Amino acid sequence: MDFLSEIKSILTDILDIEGFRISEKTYLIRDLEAESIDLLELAVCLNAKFKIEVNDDEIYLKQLRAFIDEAQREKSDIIKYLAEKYPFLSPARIEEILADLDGGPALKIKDLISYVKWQRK
Amino acid sequence: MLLDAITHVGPEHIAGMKRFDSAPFYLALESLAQLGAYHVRYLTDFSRHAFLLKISRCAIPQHPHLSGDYLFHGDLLNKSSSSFSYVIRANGNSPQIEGSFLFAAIDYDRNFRKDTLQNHYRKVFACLRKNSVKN
Repeated sequence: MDFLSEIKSILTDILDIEGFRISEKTYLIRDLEAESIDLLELAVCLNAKFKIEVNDDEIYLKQLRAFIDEAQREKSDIIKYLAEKYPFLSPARIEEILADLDGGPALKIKDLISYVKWQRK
Repeated sequence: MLLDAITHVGPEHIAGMKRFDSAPFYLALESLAQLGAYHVRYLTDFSRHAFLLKISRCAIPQHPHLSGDYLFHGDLLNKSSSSFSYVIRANGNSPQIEGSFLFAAIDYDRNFRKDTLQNHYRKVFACLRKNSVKN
């Protein structure tokens, strides 16, 4: 299954944008300006399209910053800590996200794809 | 309240009824939304605030006034941990109404207070279920 094409098709419909704006590297919120209402609709569409359970907190990394704070308080290895919380993200991707936090929400389309693939296993 | 009774509720289906007296179409739409929102509350055990996000694919009838008894059926199609999509329809005297409804459930907060809303919705739901026995 071409996950990118399927997600692109859902997003062009929800956000009313052209498909060429969406690649695996596209930021969902920073680039496409998806709002919370769009994310709620996207979650239900992912459930419909891929027949997977979708946890909004997990897929959208909603508690990312809280988890980072927790890891720091507990003096844990942040990457390992986040890998436990977000098992669909690779350690390399978590590192990338940590380096990218200052720019705003770091969620990319490729993270949605990782989540879908992980849930379908 | 734009429901007279909730006649059935289960994991993927909810049904209800309402008697209209020359009611405008938008009130029927509100009835369907109320029915769907009650199903979301039922699924989340009234632990979260439920609200309508979006209605799509719902044609406005040519003569949009409703009279008589209407039966409503809502079928849960898809869901995530916070959003729920339904097809909800109203059957009765013409016109028939059907639409796709999307609801969200969020944690109670300062605006939507748990201490008042949770009990309120539980009581109304219990009352509507009781009414289904009377009807």
